[in-house]
Amino acid sequence: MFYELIGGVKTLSVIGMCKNAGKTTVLNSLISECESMGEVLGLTSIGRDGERSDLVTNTKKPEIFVREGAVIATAEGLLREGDISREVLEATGLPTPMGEIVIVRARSAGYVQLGGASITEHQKLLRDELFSFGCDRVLIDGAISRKSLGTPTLADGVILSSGASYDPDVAVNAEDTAFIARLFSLPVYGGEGAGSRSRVAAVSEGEVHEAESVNELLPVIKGGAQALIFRGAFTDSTAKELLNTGKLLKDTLIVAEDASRLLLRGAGFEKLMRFTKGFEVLKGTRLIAVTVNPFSAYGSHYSGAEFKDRVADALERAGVRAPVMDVKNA
Amino acid sequence: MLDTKQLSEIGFRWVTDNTELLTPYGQELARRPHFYKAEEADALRTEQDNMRELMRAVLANGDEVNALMRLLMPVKDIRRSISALAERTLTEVELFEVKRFLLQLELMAPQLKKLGTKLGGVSITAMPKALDLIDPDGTRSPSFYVSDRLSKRLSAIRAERRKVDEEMRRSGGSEELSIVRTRLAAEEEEENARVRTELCEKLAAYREELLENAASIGRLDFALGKARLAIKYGAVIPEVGARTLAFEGMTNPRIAEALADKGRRFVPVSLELTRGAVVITGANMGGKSVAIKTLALNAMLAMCGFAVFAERAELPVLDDIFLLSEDREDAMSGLSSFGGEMKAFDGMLRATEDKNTVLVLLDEFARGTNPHEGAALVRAAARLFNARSNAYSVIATHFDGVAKLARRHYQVAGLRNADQESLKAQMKSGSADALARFMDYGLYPVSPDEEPPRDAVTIIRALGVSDEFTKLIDIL
Repeated sequence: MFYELIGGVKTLSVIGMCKNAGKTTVLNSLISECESMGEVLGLTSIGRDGERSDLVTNTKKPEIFVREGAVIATAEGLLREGDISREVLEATGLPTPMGEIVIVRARSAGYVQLGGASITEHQKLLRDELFSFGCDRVLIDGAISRKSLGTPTLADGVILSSGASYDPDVAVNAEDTAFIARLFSLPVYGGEGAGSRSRVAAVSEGEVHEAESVNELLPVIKGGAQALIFRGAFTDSTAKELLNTGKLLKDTLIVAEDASRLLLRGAGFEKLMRFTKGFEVLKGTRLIAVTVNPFSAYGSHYSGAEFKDRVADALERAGVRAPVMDVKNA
Repeated sequence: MLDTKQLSEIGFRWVTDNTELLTPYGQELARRPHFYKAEEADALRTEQDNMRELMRAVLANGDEVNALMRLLMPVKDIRRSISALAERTLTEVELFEVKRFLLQLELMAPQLKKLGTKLGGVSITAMPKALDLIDPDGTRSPSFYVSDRLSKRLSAIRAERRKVDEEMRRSGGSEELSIVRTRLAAEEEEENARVRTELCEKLAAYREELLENAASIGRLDFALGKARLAIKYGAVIPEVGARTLAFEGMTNPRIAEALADKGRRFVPVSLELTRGAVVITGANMGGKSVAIKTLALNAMLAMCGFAVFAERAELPVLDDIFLLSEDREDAMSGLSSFGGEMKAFDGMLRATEDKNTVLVLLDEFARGTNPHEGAALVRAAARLFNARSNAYSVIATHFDGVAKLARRHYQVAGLRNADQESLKAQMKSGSADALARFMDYGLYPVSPDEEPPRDAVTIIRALGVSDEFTKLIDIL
């Protein structure tokens, strides 16, 4: 179902809008497809705050199933939750609340529980380690938290999963999902100033002016800037600061590092899109697909076809081209 | 004994921090350096011999040393797992670490031999029998897997499990197969644990040998780190157990580094002590404290088995080193600074009473009271140390009438030899750095009758302190 979509994507992240979005179903489907094609898979997850309490309250068995040969980076304390025969390949020393992250090779088929690193640098290290153990492709169990969209700096492809558990209102869900999908699909900026290291840089008439705040750059902005490039988090207050400049930015591109740095709400984003020339990112990612799960863990299910259609419609309006799939087909 | 704050202040911490250590075992030795007691003189000599051997190896055989260092770098601290071997079953990850350690020994032991060094207390030996237990297939791969060879039952369960997995894949699975699969997985886990228990019981016989190897790696790493630092800074191995206490051309790398940042150079210090009181006098800002700290550092380094930052050094076996300065840890303990200093002095006197040989360093002793009584206190201290046969002491002071009691008197030349005309011209700039150019930081032996120089007013002027104040100084 996914295999023909992920050609060329070496590191693929599956990101859920909420719990029970059907992410595990998607992952298992990907694993099964890739393994059937003879691929050696590497698997890890993005560590989340409070993961431990999740595991205590939710005693469900691990659900990710791998074949013999897969390589898994996970917390040592989670090894016993799974049931593969394991060969320990490396003890990384990277800490998690459930012990250090170790890398094991599955010597039988079986279930695994993933618990990876929460620091981006560590995540990159793990990804590279997995490749060094001969993996053809690395799959990352990602998550959206309040803090971040997760993995764009890490993965070169993303599958976004949404489910009825996100919000009882199917319309709200479709819009929010389309918004996140849109952030993942932003075009890549190719102009000058991409190498700037300051908080913000303005590109004007071929010159790059670097500064620590938008205010410092006002004289340049008034003269007409082609692009404003931001390092670090881009939040609602950053958006507000820009909107305060009035109509000065109508010919200016707004550029963020990558989608994971965009921590603003849909409304702020829309406004900025209207007041500026548009939004781009320095490091892009490929949105492979959006999956929908009409069943809610809280009981308010959607009608399956309606959810899928609504998301497809919202994506189209947002100008995002990506297939929408129902997880029950996965 | 010097406290943590003093160790940092004299630059001892700088030395341990700049000793490049590659293993957790070596790092641990550097964190808590051992002060060799008189009865450990042989151990200290062995440590010094090891450093000499390693310094020679670094210079003559650099590539082989580098190869050994590459083997040391990935070593982890697995002592907890080793100790646990007799008490509980190690996890697969712990056994992985033990196996990796055994593999590292296989490489390290021959590499160490290639250096051609004779190192006392360092014996790194390969343990092929222990490795055979943990790796019965002899693959010597750096991963750990409980081998089928260790249990027929394990091997049978795994074979059955493989069949079921195959069947599930072919048929797409069924409730029944899932139950069988889960049961087999549980059985495998159980047998795996049993095999590991058995393996740990057998490995427990090698516990001592494993721990000895770990300790040897630490000693090798530490001595090699110290040897490399010595080469880098031109430090030398001191002669400990000599009849005299003499340091020639001493430096203090921590202070030298700070001076270099300002474009200045550390002026080496030479001191030869006799038992009794040696007094250093000299101008303010002339480097008396630096001389005291530098001596404290190098004496401490010598007794802890490090190379010393000097051209040549010899000293008797010291039982203890004391430093009384403003940098004491108790300086803020509620007593006035004078009260705190006197209590510390008293404590030191009592502690050194029945020691064989001690080095006592007093930096501007009794500075906190009036010059009349202060000078009397310092003179009393000098008399006391002259009377005690077990003490080498250095007293830095600018009080009058102390030096004449000294067994030896050193003086910081300060501004004495500066060209007065150009000094006056420079004074207008009023900066400490300008002053430093005229200051002679050298320490010279002088006659005990030589009184401390009177440079305070000159220095105040050179620093550009306000005229409103200086014109009111009534001894001008």
